[in-house]
Amino acid sequence: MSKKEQLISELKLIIRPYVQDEFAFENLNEDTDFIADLKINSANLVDVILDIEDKYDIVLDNESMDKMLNVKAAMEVINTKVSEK
Amino acid sequence: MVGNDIVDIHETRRSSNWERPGFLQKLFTVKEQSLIATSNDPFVTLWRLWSMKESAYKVYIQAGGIRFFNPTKIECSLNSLKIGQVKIAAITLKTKTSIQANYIYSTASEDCSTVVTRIFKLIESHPKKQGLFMQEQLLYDYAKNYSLKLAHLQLKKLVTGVPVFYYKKKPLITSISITHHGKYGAYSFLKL
Repeated sequence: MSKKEQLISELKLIIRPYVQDEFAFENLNEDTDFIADLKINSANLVDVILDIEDKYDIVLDNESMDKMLNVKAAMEVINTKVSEK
Repeated sequence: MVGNDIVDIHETRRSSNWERPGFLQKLFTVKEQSLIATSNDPFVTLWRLWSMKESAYKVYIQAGGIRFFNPTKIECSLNSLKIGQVKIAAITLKTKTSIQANYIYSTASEDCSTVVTRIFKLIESHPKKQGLFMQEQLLYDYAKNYSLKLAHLQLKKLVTGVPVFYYKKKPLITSISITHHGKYGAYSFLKL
């Protein structure tokens, strides 16, 4: 499994409890949008962010949160923050 | 323009733990956090503020704003139990909130007096089916309200997700907002 694939599978585990569209979840890819595709309630998007912070031991400031709308952006934010540690 | 948001109280108790460390800090400004902490019912105040932010965000998107996820950039203030104000980017909006035993419903607009709202208890539980149900109701009610032929009235969604009415294939100049959460849904539109 490549690093990217591993990150996607880790993300899937994190977002699983908040997903409201199973079909979109089964077909999750980098372009999947958390709200438009997975129908994650926007208040729950904060839970996703807090779960990501816990899992990777990082802090997502407002600027990073701003971009957290899809899988690709989340992966980029995680990679940046983890490399800054 | 008008934006709306409904919070199903039962659903939100089930799906969100607002006492989770960090949760309030990510959603609310320091000022809002103190409004919540000092209110008689922090739970209700929290979700009222949240529905105000969501409804204002919908107006911002309708106005051509770029999507973002950072609720602390949307700042609420409360005037009374019903009326509030929200600042988002360069826009300041008035909000009207209805707090009921089962739901909290907010609308945001330039002028709340011209907003028509209908709230539903939904039978369908799947969000997609709820969305379709709401759209059908809105089409039916709007056609009736303005004596339009239902067969010629369409509801389309722009790429931004903003709903727009078309009548005889021409876009209607109005503003619509649809929301559903848990067992409740609502639409609001601007009275012409």
